[in-house]
Amino acid sequence: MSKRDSWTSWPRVRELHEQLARGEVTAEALLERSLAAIRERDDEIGAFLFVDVEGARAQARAVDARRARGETLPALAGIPIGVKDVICTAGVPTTAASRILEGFVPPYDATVIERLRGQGAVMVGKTNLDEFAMGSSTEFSAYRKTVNPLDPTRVPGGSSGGSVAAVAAGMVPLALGTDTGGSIRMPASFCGVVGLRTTYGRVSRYGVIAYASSFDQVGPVARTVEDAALLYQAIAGPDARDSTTLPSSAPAVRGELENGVSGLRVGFPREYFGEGVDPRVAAVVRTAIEEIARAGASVVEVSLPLTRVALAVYIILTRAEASTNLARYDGVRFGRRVSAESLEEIYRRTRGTGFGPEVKRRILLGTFVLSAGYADRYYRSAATARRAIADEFARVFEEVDVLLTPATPEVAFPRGAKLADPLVMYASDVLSVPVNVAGVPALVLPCGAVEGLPVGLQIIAAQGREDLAFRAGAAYEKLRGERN
Amino acid sequence: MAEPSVEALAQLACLAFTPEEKERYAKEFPEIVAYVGKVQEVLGSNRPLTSTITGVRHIVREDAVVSSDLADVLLQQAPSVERGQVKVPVVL
Repeated sequence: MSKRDSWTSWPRVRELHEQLARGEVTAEALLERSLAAIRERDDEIGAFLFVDVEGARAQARAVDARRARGETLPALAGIPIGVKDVICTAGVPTTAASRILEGFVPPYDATVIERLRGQGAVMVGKTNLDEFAMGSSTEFSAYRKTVNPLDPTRVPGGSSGGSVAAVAAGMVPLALGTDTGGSIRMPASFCGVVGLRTTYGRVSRYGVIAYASSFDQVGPVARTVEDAALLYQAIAGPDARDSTTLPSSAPAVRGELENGVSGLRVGFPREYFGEGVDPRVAAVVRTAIEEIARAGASVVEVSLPLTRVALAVYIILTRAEASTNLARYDGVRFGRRVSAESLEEIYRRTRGTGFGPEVKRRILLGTFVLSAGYADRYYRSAATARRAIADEFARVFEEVDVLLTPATPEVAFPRGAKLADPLVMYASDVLSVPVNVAGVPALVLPCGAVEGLPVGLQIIAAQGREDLAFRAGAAYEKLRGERN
Repeated sequence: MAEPSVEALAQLACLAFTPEEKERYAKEFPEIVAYVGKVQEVLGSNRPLTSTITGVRHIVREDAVVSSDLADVLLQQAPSVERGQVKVPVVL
């Protein structure tokens, strides 16, 4: 029996919900199962920064009391959930995996947390990430390393490595991550789980520690497409406290999960299968596309020529926004303060010691691209190019319903392999970032393996069309299940 | 025009660096800047520049006065507080 088989294997969320409703299991029992899995595995895997044992137990007891009173339970009631530590949870430490927020306890819940509390979901703890969500391997956390549960010598991907590892290792059936440049999809691909990047504005960023405000989105991590859909529906929708949220309510996606691919127009962009992509990964994804074609989808090759500049656009704009967003960490009103004689020295030394090397690197570049004499050449050019990239996607989506691509150019790489050259690390996200640049949604789910390591299929849809991504994802997942 | 030094940018960003960090970033920086420079090759979209990629803009709401204990809660977060105010070294 492989090591993985002995891990807690959770039933799908819908089944857990039914068991809870019938009284076959209690929320407390589900939580204890999660806590036991964490105790057993997390020293090795390093998914959690903080486990809120008492808080979670209180949440679970409250759900069991509701059921005992005969109340109908919402879909996520009693379900143990991991929360990426960049999302504010009232009374529970929130660090963004940074020393500059060591000891910070938010006095409020993010909107997504309020929505989960409303459902009675049980938030088990805060998961590890690259500091301030800046990274692709979770190696830049200031607190601990997270390893890939499938191979501990390899990275889980990042920046939502903790949330993804927690789900992949069976510690929790669901988790929240954030995806600014692939930070849910890339680790989901590396660890063989399902992850969703929503349309920009689909989910509220109120209470989410900002990295790049016009890119950040919270999203679900799960083992199945349906589980991801349930968590997505619980958090999606407009929020008066976040003026960038899409004003219309999120279309329901549950109904789409049964619709199959017959009649679906699928495109695969040639730029995602060429140079820079491991040919073995490309081959696995092509096989998945062929299966989808045989099941009744029409498939055409398309072209997105601006893919070649998307990473450069992403780097410029996110670093610019990050330099502004991280200016608030100055040691004055909250978080770490390094004492000094002058206010300016407090700023410089607090930030100099509180931020890790990758965060500082990004603030530097962001400051540069916004500085006088350079802003036009870099920031303004990038903003113009961003619009062009979004338009290019929109034109392609007039011809097809979804785009299918590899989620990542390679499978999970060894720990330490990409620390020497920042550009090499940034290139891990070359297939993810165009999605964020264009503001479109994308679902990632496993579609095979190379040398035993998972390969992720990325399903991209037009802005607002998560329903199509879920439809295609659920259909493919079913095809794969029937094949195996 | 010569690019600003890491030193100059660190000043702008209010970041202290160790000598080793400065040396490392001074080496990496030109490579990253050269890579991202390729955005200038792109002829932009015909549509006007906008900071909103989904077209959502000008969302406003009415100011509503509510009573709140937020000030006390926020002061508890501050590293140094005196008489209901956040304390810092003298500015001027």
